[in-house]
Amino acid sequence: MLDSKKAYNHFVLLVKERPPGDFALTLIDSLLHVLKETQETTRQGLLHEMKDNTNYLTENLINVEGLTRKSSLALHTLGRFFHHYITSKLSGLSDTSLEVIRSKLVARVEDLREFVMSSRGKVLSSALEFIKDGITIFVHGNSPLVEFLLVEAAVKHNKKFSVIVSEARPDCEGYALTKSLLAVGIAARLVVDAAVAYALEEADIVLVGAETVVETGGIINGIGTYTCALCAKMLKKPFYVVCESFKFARMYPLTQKDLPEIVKDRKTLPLFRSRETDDVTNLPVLSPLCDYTPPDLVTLLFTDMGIFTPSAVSDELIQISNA
Amino acid sequence: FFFQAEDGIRDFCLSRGLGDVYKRQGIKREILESLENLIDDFDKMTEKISENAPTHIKSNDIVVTYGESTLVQDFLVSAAKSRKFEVIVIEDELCKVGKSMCSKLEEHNIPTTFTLPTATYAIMSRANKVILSPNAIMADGGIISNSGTLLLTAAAKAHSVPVIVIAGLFKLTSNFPFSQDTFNEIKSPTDPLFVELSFPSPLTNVIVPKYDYIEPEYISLYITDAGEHTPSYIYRLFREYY
Repeated sequence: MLDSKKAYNHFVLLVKERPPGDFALTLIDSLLHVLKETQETTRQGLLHEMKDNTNYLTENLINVEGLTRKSSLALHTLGRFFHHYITSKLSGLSDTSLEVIRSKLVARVEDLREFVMSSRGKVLSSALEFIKDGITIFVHGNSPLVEFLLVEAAVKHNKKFSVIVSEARPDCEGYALTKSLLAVGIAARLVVDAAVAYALEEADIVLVGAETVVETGGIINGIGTYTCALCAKMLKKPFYVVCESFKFARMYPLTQKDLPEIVKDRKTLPLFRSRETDDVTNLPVLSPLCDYTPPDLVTLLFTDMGIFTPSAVSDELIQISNA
Repeated sequence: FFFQAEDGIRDFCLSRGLGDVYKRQGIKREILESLENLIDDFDKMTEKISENAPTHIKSNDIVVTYGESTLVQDFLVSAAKSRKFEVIVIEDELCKVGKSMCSKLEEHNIPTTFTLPTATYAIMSRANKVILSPNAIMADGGIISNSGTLLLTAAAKAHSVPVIVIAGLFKLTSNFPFSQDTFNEIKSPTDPLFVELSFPSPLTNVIVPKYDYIEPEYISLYITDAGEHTPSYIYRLFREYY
Protein backbone atom coordinates (compact mmCIF):
# COMPACT_ATOMS: atom_id res chain seq x y z
CA MET A 1 0.00 0.00 0.00
CA LEU A 2 1.53 3.23 -1.13
CA ASP A 3 1.95 5.79 1.62
CA SER A 4 2.46 9.15 -0.02
CA LYS A 5 2.30 10.99 3.27
CA LYS A 6 5.46 9.47 4.71
CA ALA A 7 7.77 12.21 3.50
CA TYR A 8 5.33 14.91 4.55
CA ASN A 9 4.99 13.56 8.08
CA HIS A 10 8.74 13.22 8.43
CA PHE A 11 9.18 16.75 7.13
CA VAL A 12 6.79 18.20 9.69
CA LEU A 13 8.68 16.33 12.39
CA LEU A 14 12.07 17.60 11.28
CA VAL A 15 10.89 21.20 10.91
CA LYS A 16 9.93 21.20 14.60
CA GLU A 17 13.32 19.84 15.65
CA ARG A 18 15.59 21.99 13.56
CA PRO A 19 16.31 25.74 13.69
CA PRO A 20 14.10 27.69 11.29
CA GLY A 21 15.29 28.63 7.83
CA ASP A 22 17.20 25.57 6.66
CA PHE A 23 14.37 23.93 4.76
CA ALA A 24 16.28 22.67 1.75
CA LEU A 25 18.21 20.12 3.77
CA THR A 26 15.07 19.16 5.68
CA LEU A 27 13.30 18.41 2.41
CA ILE A 28 16.12 16.21 1.19
CA ASP A 29 16.33 14.45 4.54
CA SER A 30 12.64 13.62 4.58
CA LEU A 31 12.78 12.23 1.05
CA LEU A 32 15.92 10.31 1.96
CA HIS A 33 14.02 8.85 4.91
CA VAL A 34 11.36 7.54 2.53
CA LEU A 35 14.01 6.07 0.26
CA LYS A 36 15.76 4.30 3.11
CA GLU A 37 12.59 2.80 4.53
CA THR A 38 10.95 1.80 1.27
CA GLN A 39 9.17 -1.53 1.14
CA GLU A 40 8.92 -1.55 -2.65
CA THR A 41 10.31 -4.50 -4.58
CA THR A 42 10.28 -3.17 -8.13
CA ARG A 43 12.05 -0.27 -9.83
CA GLN A 44 8.79 1.22 -11.09
CA GLY A 45 7.29 0.84 -7.65
CA LEU A 46 10.20 2.63 -6.07
CA LEU A 47 10.05 5.42 -8.62
CA HIS A 48 6.31 5.72 -8.15
CA GLU A 49 6.62 5.92 -4.39
CA MET A 50 9.30 8.60 -4.58
CA LYS A 51 7.27 10.59 -7.09
CA ASP A 52 4.08 10.43 -5.03
CA ASN A 53 5.86 11.40 -1.87
CA THR A 54 7.67 14.30 -3.51
CA ASN A 55 4.47 15.58 -5.10
CA TYR A 56 2.44 15.30 -1.91
CA LEU A 57 5.16 17.04 0.07
CA THR A 58 5.62 19.94 -2.31
CA GLU A 59 1.88 20.47 -2.72
CA ASN A 60 1.24 20.54 1.00
CA LEU A 61 4.21 22.62 2.03
CA ILE A 62 1.99 25.62 2.64
CA ASN A 63 0.22 23.71 5.39
CA VAL A 64 3.40 23.16 7.34
CA GLU A 65 3.74 25.33 10.41
CA GLY A 66 6.74 27.58 10.43
CA LEU A 67 7.19 27.57 6.69
CA THR A 68 6.38 30.79 4.86
CA ARG A 69 4.52 30.64 1.54
CA LYS A 70 7.51 32.18 -0.17
CA SER A 71 9.95 29.45 0.83
CA SER A 72 7.51 26.87 -0.41
CA LEU A 73 8.19 28.08 -3.95
CA ALA A 74 11.91 27.45 -3.60
CA LEU A 75 11.23 24.04 -2.08
CA HIS A 76 8.82 23.22 -4.90
CA THR A 77 11.68 23.76 -7.31
CA LEU A 78 13.98 21.68 -5.15
CA GLY A 79 11.41 18.88 -5.06
CA ARG A 80 11.21 18.82 -8.83
CA PHE A 81 14.98 18.92 -9.08
CA PHE A 82 15.23 16.02 -6.62
CA HIS A 83 12.73 13.98 -8.59
CA HIS A 84 14.61 14.57 -11.82
CA TYR A 85 17.87 13.67 -10.09
CA ILE A 86 16.49 10.36 -8.88
CA THR A 87 14.84 9.44 -12.17
CA SER A 88 17.92 10.11 -14.23
CA LYS A 89 20.07 8.01 -11.91
CA LEU A 90 17.55 5.20 -11.81
CA SER A 91 17.29 4.99 -15.57
CA GLY A 92 21.08 4.77 -15.76
CA LEU A 93 21.32 1.79 -13.41
CA SER A 94 21.31 -1.65 -14.94
CA ASP A 95 21.41 -3.66 -11.71
CA THR A 96 18.69 -6.21 -11.12
CA SER A 97 18.81 -6.38 -7.34
CA LEU A 98 16.63 -3.72 -5.74
CA GLU A 99 18.86 -3.64 -2.69
CA VAL A 100 21.81 -2.59 -4.83
CA ILE A 101 19.69 -0.03 -6.65
CA ARG A 102 18.41 1.37 -3.40
CA SER A 103 21.85 1.69 -1.86
CA LYS A 104 23.17 3.40 -5.00
CA LEU A 105 20.23 5.81 -4.96
CA VAL A 106 20.79 6.52 -1.29
CA ALA A 107 24.44 7.26 -2.03
CA ARG A 108 23.43 9.63 -4.84
CA VAL A 109 20.93 11.45 -2.62
CA GLU A 110 23.58 11.80 0.02
CA ASP A 111 25.84 13.35 -2.61
CA LEU A 112 23.04 15.79 -3.35
CA ARG A 113 22.75 16.53 0.35
CA GLU A 114 26.47 17.26 0.52
CA PHE A 115 26.14 19.54 -2.48
CA VAL A 116 23.25 21.49 -0.93
CA MET A 117 25.12 21.80 2.37
CA SER A 118 28.25 23.14 0.73
CA SER A 119 26.42 25.46 -1.66
CA ARG A 120 26.46 28.31 0.85
CA GLY A 121 30.22 28.25 1.13
CA LYS A 122 30.60 28.16 -2.64
CA VAL A 123 28.30 31.14 -3.13
CA LEU A 124 30.34 32.99 -0.53
CA SER A 125 33.60 32.36 -2.35
CA SER A 126 32.25 33.53 -5.70
CA ALA A 127 30.55 36.60 -4.19
CA LEU A 128 33.27 37.75 -1.81
CA GLU A 129 35.15 39.69 -4.48
CA PHE A 130 32.53 42.33 -4.97
CA ILE A 131 32.30 43.23 -1.27
CA LYS A 132 35.05 45.77 -1.00
CA ASP A 133 36.06 47.85 1.98
CA GLY A 134 34.20 51.11 2.31
CA ILE A 135 31.20 50.34 0.11
CA THR A 136 27.55 50.78 1.00
CA ILE A 137 25.37 47.79 0.19
CA PHE A 138 21.61 48.11 -0.21
CA VAL A 139 19.72 44.96 0.76
CA HIS A 140 16.05 44.18 0.22
CA GLY A 141 14.34 41.53 2.27
CA ASN A 142 15.89 38.96 4.56
CA SER A 143 17.34 36.15 2.51
CA PRO A 144 19.27 33.76 4.81
CA LEU A 145 21.96 33.52 2.15
CA VAL A 146 22.45 37.30 2.01
CA GLU A 147 22.66 37.42 5.80
CA PHE A 148 25.22 34.59 5.80
CA LEU A 149 27.26 36.33 3.10
CA LEU A 150 27.38 39.70 4.87
CA VAL A 151 28.09 38.24 8.30
CA GLU A 152 30.90 36.00 7.01
CA ALA A 153 32.45 38.84 5.02
CA ALA A 154 32.49 41.12 8.05
CA VAL A 155 33.52 38.55 10.65
CA LYS A 156 35.77 36.02 8.91
CA HIS A 157 37.19 38.18 6.14
CA ASN A 158 37.34 41.48 8.03
CA LYS A 159 35.64 43.54 5.41
CA LYS A 160 34.44 46.96 6.48
CA PHE A 161 31.25 48.07 4.77
CA SER A 162 27.91 49.59 5.67
CA VAL A 163 24.48 48.27 4.83
CA ILE A 164 21.15 49.95 4.19
CA VAL A 165 18.27 47.53 4.74
CA SER A 166 14.80 48.16 3.42
CA GLU A 167 11.89 47.28 5.66
CA ALA A 168 10.33 44.86 3.14
CA ARG A 169 6.72 45.33 4.14
CA PRO A 170 4.30 43.74 4.82
CA ASP A 171 6.37 40.99 6.44
CA CYS A 172 8.89 43.55 7.68
CA GLU A 173 11.76 41.09 7.27
CA GLY A 174 14.22 43.98 7.27
CA TYR A 175 13.93 44.38 11.03
CA ALA A 176 15.39 40.95 11.77
CA LEU A 177 18.18 41.40 9.26
CA THR A 178 19.20 44.79 10.66
CA LYS A 179 19.34 43.36 14.18
CA SER A 180 21.52 40.43 13.15
CA LEU A 181 23.89 42.68 11.19
CA LEU A 182 24.24 45.09 14.08
CA ALA A 183 24.96 42.16 16.36
CA VAL A 184 28.16 41.38 14.44
CA GLY A 185 29.22 45.00 14.24
CA ILE A 186 28.18 45.91 10.70
CA ALA A 187 26.93 49.49 10.35
CA ALA A 188 23.37 48.75 9.28
CA ARG A 189 20.52 51.21 8.87
CA LEU A 190 16.85 50.55 8.31
CA VAL A 191 14.84 52.47 5.72
CA VAL A 192 11.14 52.46 4.75
CA ASP A 193 10.21 50.90 1.41
CA ALA A 194 9.08 54.25 0.03
CA ALA A 195 12.62 55.58 0.52
CA VAL A 196 14.31 52.97 -1.69
CA ALA A 197 15.15 55.39 -4.51
CA TYR A 198 16.32 57.98 -2.01
CA ALA A 199 18.62 55.50 -0.27
CA LEU A 200 20.02 54.09 -3.51
CA GLU A 201 21.76 57.36 -4.22
CA GLU A 202 24.04 56.62 -1.30
CA ALA A 203 24.46 52.92 -2.05
CA ASP A 204 27.16 51.45 -4.28
CA ILE A 205 25.58 48.09 -5.01
CA VAL A 206 22.24 46.36 -4.48
CA LEU A 207 22.17 42.81 -3.15
CA VAL A 208 19.19 40.47 -2.98
CA GLY A 209 18.54 36.78 -2.64
CA ALA A 210 16.05 34.89 -4.80
CA GLU A 211 13.22 32.44 -4.18
CA THR A 212 13.55 31.15 -7.71
CA VAL A 213 15.73 31.94 -10.72
CA VAL A 214 13.72 31.48 -13.91
CA GLU A 215 14.71 30.44 -17.38
CA THR A 216 14.75 34.00 -18.72
CA GLY A 217 17.56 34.84 -16.31
CA GLY A 218 15.24 36.91 -14.14
CA ILE A 219 14.29 36.17 -10.54
CA ILE A 220 11.19 35.71 -8.43
CA ASN A 221 11.70 37.20 -5.01
CA GLY A 222 9.73 38.88 -2.22
CA ILE A 223 7.54 41.80 -3.20
CA GLY A 224 9.53 45.01 -3.55
CA THR A 225 12.48 43.44 -5.36
CA TYR A 226 11.21 44.60 -8.75
CA THR A 227 10.92 48.14 -7.42
CA CYS A 228 14.50 48.04 -6.14
CA ALA A 229 15.73 46.65 -9.46
CA LEU A 230 14.00 49.38 -11.47
CA CYS A 231 15.43 52.10 -9.24
CA ALA A 232 18.89 50.53 -9.39
CA LYS A 233 18.79 50.45 -13.18
CA MET A 234 17.70 54.06 -13.33
CA LEU A 235 20.41 55.18 -10.91
CA LYS A 236 23.02 52.98 -12.60
CA LYS A 237 23.80 50.85 -9.55
CA PRO A 238 24.74 47.20 -10.13
CA PHE A 239 22.01 44.78 -9.06
CA TYR A 240 23.48 41.49 -7.78
CA VAL A 241 21.55 38.34 -6.93
CA VAL A 242 22.89 35.53 -4.73
CA CYS A 243 21.23 32.14 -4.75
CA GLU A 244 21.92 28.41 -4.76
CA SER A 245 21.72 26.49 -8.01
CA PHE A 246 18.85 24.22 -6.91
CA LYS A 247 16.62 27.27 -7.11
CA PHE A 248 16.85 27.35 -10.89
CA ALA A 249 13.40 26.55 -12.30
CA ARG A 250 12.11 25.89 -15.80
CA MET A 251 9.55 28.66 -15.76
CA TYR A 252 9.32 31.40 -18.35
CA PRO A 253 7.26 34.29 -16.97
CA LEU A 254 6.77 37.22 -19.31
CA THR A 255 4.75 39.50 -17.07
CA GLN A 256 3.91 39.82 -13.39
CA LYS A 257 0.69 37.91 -14.07
CA ASP A 258 2.67 34.82 -15.06
CA LEU A 259 3.87 34.12 -11.53
CA PRO A 260 2.97 30.75 -10.01
CA GLU A 261 -0.35 30.75 -8.13
CA ILE A 262 1.28 30.01 -4.83
CA VAL A 263 2.97 33.41 -4.63
CA LYS A 264 0.46 35.57 -6.44
CA ASP A 265 -1.81 36.23 -3.52
CA ARG A 266 -1.11 36.44 0.19
CA LYS A 267 -4.64 35.22 0.89
CA THR A 268 -5.27 35.32 4.60
CA LEU A 269 -1.97 36.64 5.85
CA PRO A 270 -2.03 40.12 7.41
CA LEU A 271 -1.37 42.80 4.83
CA PHE A 272 -0.91 46.03 6.67
CA ARG A 273 0.70 46.51 10.02
CA SER A 274 -0.66 49.79 11.23
CA ARG A 275 -2.87 51.30 13.85
CA GLU A 276 -5.63 51.67 11.32
CA THR A 277 -5.61 47.95 10.48
CA ASP A 278 -9.22 47.32 11.47
CA ASP A 279 -10.57 49.80 8.96
CA VAL A 280 -8.26 48.67 6.17
CA THR A 281 -9.01 44.95 6.06
CA ASN A 282 -12.45 45.64 4.63
CA LEU A 283 -11.07 47.41 1.59
CA PRO A 284 -10.34 45.54 -1.66
CA VAL A 285 -6.61 44.90 -1.91
CA LEU A 286 -4.01 43.76 -4.41
CA SER A 287 -1.66 41.67 -2.32
CA PRO A 288 0.98 39.68 -4.12
CA LEU A 289 3.57 37.74 -2.18
CA CYS A 290 6.38 37.85 -4.74
CA ASP A 291 7.26 39.72 -7.90
CA TYR A 292 9.20 38.93 -11.03
CA THR A 293 12.36 40.89 -11.86
CA PRO A 294 13.20 40.63 -15.58
CA PRO A 295 16.76 39.75 -16.65
CA ASP A 296 17.64 43.13 -18.13
CA LEU A 297 17.54 44.59 -14.62
CA VAL A 298 19.89 41.99 -13.13
CA THR A 299 23.63 42.61 -13.48
CA LEU A 300 25.10 39.33 -12.23
CA LEU A 301 23.98 36.18 -10.42
CA PHE A 302 26.32 34.64 -7.84
CA THR A 303 25.63 30.95 -7.42
CA ASP A 304 27.41 27.87 -6.13
CA MET A 305 28.18 26.98 -9.75
CA GLY A 306 29.95 30.24 -10.43
CA ILE A 307 29.14 33.77 -11.52
CA PHE A 308 26.54 34.09 -14.28
CA THR A 309 25.20 36.83 -16.45
CA PRO A 310 21.40 36.56 -16.84
CA SER A 311 21.80 35.32 -20.41
CA ALA A 312 23.90 32.38 -19.18
CA VAL A 313 21.17 31.08 -16.87
CA SER A 314 19.09 29.21 -19.42
CA ASP A 315 22.18 27.44 -20.70
CA GLU A 316 23.00 26.37 -17.17
CA LEU A 317 19.45 25.13 -16.62
CA ILE A 318 19.69 22.94 -19.68
CA GLN A 319 22.93 21.50 -18.35
CA ILE A 320 21.39 20.78 -14.97
CA SER A 321 18.41 19.01 -16.49
CA ASN A 322 20.64 16.94 -18.72
CA ALA A 323 23.06 16.03 -15.94
CA PHE B 1 45.78 29.94 -24.24
CA PHE B 2 48.06 27.09 -23.33
CA PHE B 3 45.06 25.07 -22.20
CA GLN B 4 44.86 23.50 -25.63
CA ALA B 5 48.42 22.25 -25.38
CA GLU B 6 47.93 21.10 -21.80
CA ASP B 7 44.88 19.07 -22.72
CA GLY B 8 46.95 17.30 -25.32
CA ILE B 9 49.43 16.28 -22.63
CA ARG B 10 46.79 15.31 -20.10
CA ASP B 11 44.81 13.10 -22.46
CA PHE B 12 47.90 11.44 -23.65
CA CYS B 13 49.09 10.71 -20.12
CA LEU B 14 45.79 9.21 -19.08
CA SER B 15 45.81 6.76 -21.93
CA ARG B 16 49.46 5.83 -22.10
CA GLY B 17 51.33 6.65 -18.91
CA LEU B 18 54.81 8.08 -18.53
CA GLY B 19 58.29 6.71 -18.13
CA ASP B 20 59.35 5.52 -21.55
CA VAL B 21 61.67 7.53 -23.79
CA TYR B 22 59.51 6.64 -26.76
CA LYS B 23 56.38 7.83 -24.96
CA ARG B 24 58.09 11.02 -23.87
CA GLN B 25 58.91 11.74 -27.47
CA GLY B 26 55.26 11.06 -28.25
CA ILE B 27 54.23 13.71 -25.71
CA LYS B 28 56.70 16.14 -27.23
CA ARG B 29 55.11 15.50 -30.60
CA GLU B 30 51.64 16.19 -29.17
CA ILE B 31 52.76 19.45 -27.61
CA LEU B 32 54.42 20.58 -30.81
CA GLU B 33 51.27 19.76 -32.77
CA SER B 34 49.08 21.72 -30.37
CA LEU B 35 51.41 24.70 -30.48
CA GLU B 36 51.48 24.59 -34.26
CA ASN B 37 47.69 24.60 -34.33
CA LEU B 38 47.73 27.61 -32.03
CA ILE B 39 50.20 29.48 -34.26
CA ASP B 40 48.06 28.58 -37.25
CA ASP B 41 45.01 30.02 -35.49
CA PHE B 42 46.86 33.25 -34.84
CA ASP B 43 47.98 33.50 -38.46
CA LYS B 44 44.50 32.96 -39.80
CA MET B 45 42.88 35.21 -37.17
CA THR B 46 43.25 38.51 -39.00
CA GLU B 47 42.03 36.94 -42.23
CA LYS B 48 38.92 35.47 -40.62
CA ILE B 49 38.03 38.71 -38.89
CA SER B 50 38.63 40.89 -41.93
CA GLU B 51 36.87 38.77 -44.51
CA ASN B 52 33.45 40.14 -43.49
CA ALA B 53 34.61 43.75 -43.32
CA PRO B 54 32.78 44.85 -46.49
CA THR B 55 29.43 43.68 -45.01
CA HIS B 56 29.86 45.90 -41.97
CA ILE B 57 31.20 49.04 -43.60
CA LYS B 58 28.99 50.62 -46.23
CA SER B 59 29.99 53.16 -48.86
CA ASN B 60 30.22 56.74 -47.63
CA ASP B 61 30.30 55.57 -44.01
CA ILE B 62 32.17 57.59 -41.44
CA VAL B 63 34.01 55.18 -39.17
CA VAL B 64 35.48 56.33 -35.86
CA THR B 65 38.37 54.52 -34.27
CA TYR B 66 40.60 55.11 -31.26
CA GLY B 67 44.38 55.16 -31.15
CA GLU B 68 46.31 52.59 -33.13
CA SER B 69 45.56 48.93 -33.71
CA THR B 70 46.91 46.64 -36.42
CA LEU B 71 43.73 44.56 -36.30
CA VAL B 72 41.49 47.57 -36.91
CA GLN B 73 43.89 48.69 -39.62
CA ASP B 74 43.68 45.34 -41.44
CA PHE B 75 39.92 45.35 -41.03
CA LEU B 76 39.58 48.81 -42.57
CA VAL B 77 42.04 48.06 -45.35
CA SER B 78 40.12 44.91 -46.23
CA ALA B 79 36.88 46.90 -46.43
CA ALA B 80 38.56 49.66 -48.48
CA LYS B 81 39.20 47.17 -51.29
CA SER B 82 35.55 47.32 -52.24
CA ARG B 83 34.10 50.33 -50.43
CA LYS B 84 34.78 54.05 -50.29
CA PHE B 85 34.50 55.41 -46.76
CA GLU B 86 36.09 57.88 -44.39
CA VAL B 87 37.85 57.25 -41.09
CA ILE B 88 38.13 59.56 -38.10
CA VAL B 89 41.02 58.61 -35.84
CA ILE B 90 40.78 59.84 -32.27
CA GLU B 91 44.15 60.27 -30.65
CA ASP B 92 45.03 58.09 -27.68
CA GLU B 93 46.77 60.72 -25.61
CA LEU B 94 48.53 58.28 -23.32
CA CYS B 95 50.26 56.41 -26.13
CA LYS B 96 50.31 59.14 -28.79
CA VAL B 97 49.94 56.71 -31.69
CA GLY B 98 47.09 58.36 -33.61
CA LYS B 99 49.31 59.95 -36.20
CA SER B 100 51.02 56.71 -37.17
CA MET B 101 47.57 55.07 -37.53
CA CYS B 102 46.53 57.91 -39.84
CA SER B 103 49.61 57.59 -42.04
CA LYS B 104 49.17 53.82 -42.33
CA LEU B 105 45.57 54.24 -43.42
CA GLU B 106 46.49 56.91 -45.90
CA GLU B 107 48.97 54.54 -47.55
CA HIS B 108 45.89 52.58 -48.61
CA ASN B 109 44.10 55.67 -49.89
CA ILE B 110 41.53 55.84 -47.10
CA PRO B 111 40.60 59.49 -46.37
CA THR B 112 41.42 60.05 -42.71
CA THR B 113 40.69 62.78 -40.20
CA PHE B 114 42.69 63.14 -37.01
CA THR B 115 41.13 64.66 -33.89
CA LEU B 116 41.74 64.92 -30.16
CA PRO B 117 39.52 63.19 -27.59
CA THR B 118 38.00 66.54 -26.64
CA ALA B 119 36.19 66.59 -29.99
CA THR B 120 34.66 63.11 -29.54
CA TYR B 121 31.14 64.21 -28.63
CA ALA B 122 31.11 66.88 -31.29
CA ILE B 123 32.02 64.56 -34.19
CA MET B 124 29.85 61.67 -33.01
CA SER B 125 26.72 63.15 -34.53
CA ARG B 126 28.28 62.65 -37.96
CA ALA B 127 29.70 59.17 -37.30
CA ASN B 128 28.06 55.98 -38.59
CA LYS B 129 29.96 53.46 -36.51
CA VAL B 130 32.74 53.04 -34.01
CA ILE B 131 35.30 50.26 -34.41
CA LEU B 132 37.52 49.31 -31.49
CA SER B 133 40.09 46.73 -30.56
CA PRO B 134 40.27 45.93 -26.83
CA ASN B 135 43.06 44.73 -24.56
CA ALA B 136 40.84 42.02 -23.09
CA ILE B 137 37.28 40.74 -23.31
CA MET B 138 35.73 40.11 -19.90
CA ALA B 139 33.42 37.25 -19.00
CA ASP B 140 30.35 39.49 -18.68
CA GLY B 141 30.69 40.73 -22.27
CA GLY B 142 32.42 44.00 -21.39
CA ILE B 143 35.94 45.00 -22.45
CA ILE B 144 39.10 46.41 -20.95
CA SER B 145 40.58 48.94 -23.31
CA ASN B 146 42.99 51.86 -23.22
CA SER B 147 42.03 54.85 -21.14
CA GLY B 148 39.78 57.19 -23.10
CA THR B 149 37.74 54.48 -24.78
CA LEU B 150 34.91 54.86 -22.28
CA LEU B 151 34.54 58.49 -23.32
CA LEU B 152 34.21 57.36 -26.92
CA THR B 153 31.66 54.61 -26.25
CA ALA B 154 29.60 56.84 -23.94
CA ALA B 155 29.41 59.48 -26.69
CA ALA B 156 28.49 56.76 -29.19
CA LYS B 157 25.68 55.52 -26.96
CA ALA B 158 24.34 59.05 -26.54
CA HIS B 159 24.15 59.39 -30.33
CA SER B 160 22.97 55.80 -30.93
CA VAL B 161 26.06 54.99 -32.96
CA PRO B 162 26.80 51.23 -33.02
CA VAL B 163 30.06 50.17 -31.38
CA ILE B 164 31.78 47.21 -33.03
CA VAL B 165 34.57 45.47 -31.14
CA ILE B 166 37.00 43.32 -33.12
CA ALA B 167 39.34 40.91 -31.37
CA GLY B 168 40.87 37.48 -31.54
CA LEU B 169 39.40 34.96 -29.10
CA PHE B 170 42.66 34.70 -27.20
CA LYS B 171 41.71 37.99 -25.57
CA LEU B 172 38.82 36.33 -23.73
CA THR B 173 39.24 36.13 -19.93
CA SER B 174 37.21 34.52 -17.17
CA ASN B 175 37.17 37.60 -14.95
CA PHE B 176 34.24 39.74 -13.90
CA PRO B 177 35.14 43.38 -13.32
CA PHE B 178 33.00 45.06 -10.69
CA SER B 179 34.17 48.61 -11.18
CA GLN B 180 36.66 50.68 -13.12
CA ASP B 181 39.35 49.79 -10.59
CA THR B 182 39.06 46.01 -10.53
CA PHE B 183 41.47 45.39 -13.38
CA ASN B 184 43.26 48.64 -13.75
CA GLU B 185 46.71 50.12 -13.27
CA ILE B 186 47.59 53.62 -12.24
CA LYS B 187 50.50 54.83 -14.28
CA SER B 188 53.10 57.21 -12.97
CA PRO B 189 52.73 60.72 -14.33
CA THR B 190 56.49 60.97 -14.64
CA ASP B 191 56.40 58.29 -17.33
CA PRO B 192 58.42 59.29 -20.39
CA LEU B 193 55.15 59.84 -22.28
CA PHE B 194 54.27 62.66 -19.97
CA VAL B 195 57.29 64.86 -20.21
CA GLU B 196 55.29 68.08 -20.45
CA LEU B 197 53.35 67.51 -17.19
CA SER B 198 55.10 69.18 -14.32
CA PHE B 199 53.39 70.15 -11.10
CA PRO B 200 55.70 72.03 -8.74
CA SER B 201 53.25 71.82 -5.83
CA PRO B 202 53.27 68.54 -3.88
CA LEU B 203 49.59 69.12 -3.08
CA THR B 204 48.53 68.33 -6.64
CA ASN B 205 47.60 64.69 -7.17
CA VAL B 206 47.98 63.38 -10.70
CA ILE B 207 45.98 60.22 -11.43
CA VAL B 208 46.67 58.43 -14.69
CA PRO B 209 44.67 55.24 -15.09
CA LYS B 210 45.92 52.94 -17.79
CA TYR B 211 42.67 51.17 -18.73
CA ASP B 212 38.95 51.73 -18.96
CA TYR B 213 36.33 49.08 -18.33
CA ILE B 214 33.48 49.36 -20.80
CA GLU B 215 30.23 47.67 -19.79
CA PRO B 216 28.48 45.29 -22.18
CA GLU B 217 25.58 47.76 -22.57
CA TYR B 218 27.86 50.09 -24.58
CA ILE B 219 28.84 47.43 -27.12
CA SER B 220 26.69 46.45 -30.10
CA LEU B 221 28.66 43.67 -31.73
CA TYR B 222 31.74 41.52 -31.32
CA ILE B 223 33.57 40.34 -34.45
CA THR B 224 35.93 37.51 -33.54
CA ASP B 225 37.64 34.72 -35.41
CA ALA B 226 34.83 32.47 -34.15
CA GLY B 227 32.16 34.56 -35.83
CA GLU B 228 30.09 37.62 -34.96
CA HIS B 229 28.25 37.75 -31.64
CA THR B 230 26.40 40.03 -29.25
CA PRO B 231 27.91 40.77 -25.81
CA SER B 232 25.40 38.49 -24.07
CA TYR B 233 26.83 35.51 -25.98
CA ILE B 234 30.38 35.95 -24.71
CA TYR B 235 29.90 33.55 -21.79
CA ARG B 236 29.09 30.83 -24.32
CA LEU B 237 32.16 31.54 -26.43
CA PHE B 238 34.26 31.35 -23.32
CA ARG B 239 32.82 27.99 -22.37
CA GLU B 240 33.40 26.58 -25.83
CA TYR B 241 36.89 27.95 -26.18
CA TYR B 242 38.09 26.87 -22.75
